[in-house]
Amino acid sequence: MNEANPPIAHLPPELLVSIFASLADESSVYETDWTVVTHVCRAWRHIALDHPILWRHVNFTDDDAWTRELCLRSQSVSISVLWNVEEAPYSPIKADILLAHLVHTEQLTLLVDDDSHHITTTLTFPAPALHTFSVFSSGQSEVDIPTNLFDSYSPKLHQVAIDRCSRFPWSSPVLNNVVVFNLSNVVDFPLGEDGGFLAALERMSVLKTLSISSVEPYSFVTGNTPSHQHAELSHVSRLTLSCDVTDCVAFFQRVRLSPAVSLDLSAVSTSSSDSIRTLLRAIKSAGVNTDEHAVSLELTSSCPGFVCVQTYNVERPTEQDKEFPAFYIAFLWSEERELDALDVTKAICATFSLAHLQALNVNIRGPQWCAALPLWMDLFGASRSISTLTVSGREGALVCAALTQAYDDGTKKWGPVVHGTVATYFLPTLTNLEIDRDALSFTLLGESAPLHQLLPQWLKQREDAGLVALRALTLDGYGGVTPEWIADLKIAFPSLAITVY
Amino acid sequence: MPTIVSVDDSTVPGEGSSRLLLLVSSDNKHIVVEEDIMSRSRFISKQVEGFEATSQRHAILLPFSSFVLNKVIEYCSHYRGYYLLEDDPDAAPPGRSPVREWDQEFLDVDRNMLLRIIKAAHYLEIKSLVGSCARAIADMIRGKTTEEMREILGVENDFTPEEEHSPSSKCTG
Repeated sequence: MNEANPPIAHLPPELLVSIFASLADESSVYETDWTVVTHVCRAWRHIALDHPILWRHVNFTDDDAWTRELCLRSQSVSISVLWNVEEAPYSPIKADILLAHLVHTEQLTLLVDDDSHHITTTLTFPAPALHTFSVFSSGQSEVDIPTNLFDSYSPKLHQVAIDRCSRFPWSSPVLNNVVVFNLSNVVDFPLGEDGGFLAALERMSVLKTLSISSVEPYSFVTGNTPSHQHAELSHVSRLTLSCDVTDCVAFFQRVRLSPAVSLDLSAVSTSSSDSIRTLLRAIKSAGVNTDEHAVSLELTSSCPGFVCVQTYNVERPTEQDKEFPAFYIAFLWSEERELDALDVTKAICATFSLAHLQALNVNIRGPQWCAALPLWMDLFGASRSISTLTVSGREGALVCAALTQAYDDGTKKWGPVVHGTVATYFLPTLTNLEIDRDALSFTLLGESAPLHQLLPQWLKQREDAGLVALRALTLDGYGGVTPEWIADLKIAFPSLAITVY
Repeated sequence: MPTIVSVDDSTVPGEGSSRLLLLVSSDNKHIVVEEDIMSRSRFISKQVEGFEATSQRHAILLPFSSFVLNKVIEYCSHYRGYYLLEDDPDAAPPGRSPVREWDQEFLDVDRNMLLRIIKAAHYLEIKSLVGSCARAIADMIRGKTTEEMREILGVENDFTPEEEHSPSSKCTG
């Protein structure tokens, strides 16, 4: 092996194939930019043309002859086919090419429009190598899928993504071995129909990941025949659902899920606390064990006067709330709209029963929020179980100041610690307190002093008042304390875990 | 086939599972390396299996310089004990070679060195290293014109004008 100055032309063909394959794989998969190597020299051209594996990604183009040539160069290796009708308009020749090579097609992706949604009706030939089948539509028409899709023979089909295919032949055996199933743009899709969607999901015994998104509101309930039968979907380990709360509820009321299923919900609500509660009950009734497993729910509400997104992490229930788990609620207000802070705050008060609330994170921005301060006072004051309350945002400090005043007046039972623009309020049930380097001052019963000077006094006062004892104190970069101060605090409050960074 | 010469036991002492191998480069440098480190090489593994069959241990002569060999040993040492799918003879080959950050730095060398490493990796049957080298070489020519590719990799244009421009030679859309 002469290695003095090895020109690349002397590399064994299999190494050049590896290089070309890497070039092909790293470009956008279906791009043919890599084929420029066939114009570099004779050896490269021969090697490229002699190795069909390099031609396994076939992107249908406007040129029918070139499309056919690409398919022929792949010979009989498993190929991935992409046909985007916006770049390669439908032609009977292309349809014939597609069908002629279906037998060794491993991945098939069709991007259709209103003029070409019938492409799929030709897919009535066996697809013995097909692993992934995806259909996406840029139009509004339903995509037509034949009842004898792939002649009912696609034993390796593990991944299916269909878009605007509400009339999919759900009884087709091609779904039997599907592991990942994505359904999007669902319209008028009653779940109660016999032999329909839910029955298909039940039969898909190896299905692990199910995603349903962009469901037209009330698609799952329109014309739905009430049924007490549940589709057994305990084999599904991950469920992603994005639709109206009403449709979410309808779905969960019709299925049985594994207690440990991973749920990722994105629901749209008309901002009624009842709908949220109904949804949570439906999730539980589907068998999901929210006691042990977190559920991620992003709820988009549209109330008169405002839009908000609320994120719930449903965690373990507590003694205070047997019916519903504790909520972590974050309100992220749309800054693009002029919001009436008073209305928003009223809506929050009306929407949530704060008796169940354990943690609340509120991001307050905009001077108009000051007008709503009295309501915020009521909002926070209504809670009897909040252990963590964080108010942040540009106007957070104003809210904080008002609450401080309320505390000093003796009308409320908590006091704030202000650090920077973030204000953390600790309540009667507070168990964990974090203080950062910006926590410069602390107001307690009208006395204002550096935090560390008043903190021992405040802890003692809590203890004397019989409030829930603080269990953990974290000082993150706060510069006012000395080792002696920490040692004294540990002696005075031996059960308090003190962490200093 | 490699040239194999006998070595006495004192040159290559055996120490149970971490036995030592003597590798001899083309510039006649003797490099002792633990067998475990080189087990990623199918070629070396097959040689060692041969030793087991004959109860004799040998030096393994390799047709590349000690400079290149040390680079390969550095690679194998870094991934000692790591499972890399590409090097599993029983695993299906991955669809595309995974990107490993350490490899990218390791292979940040000039063209000739890169070509020598990929040839050595190919000879030693270390598929993971071949894949990483192939990716590095592909990175050098990605997005380049044919003329630039020829210049970067030292390839001669041996097409006749007819071959280069003949409609039948169309290779790109």
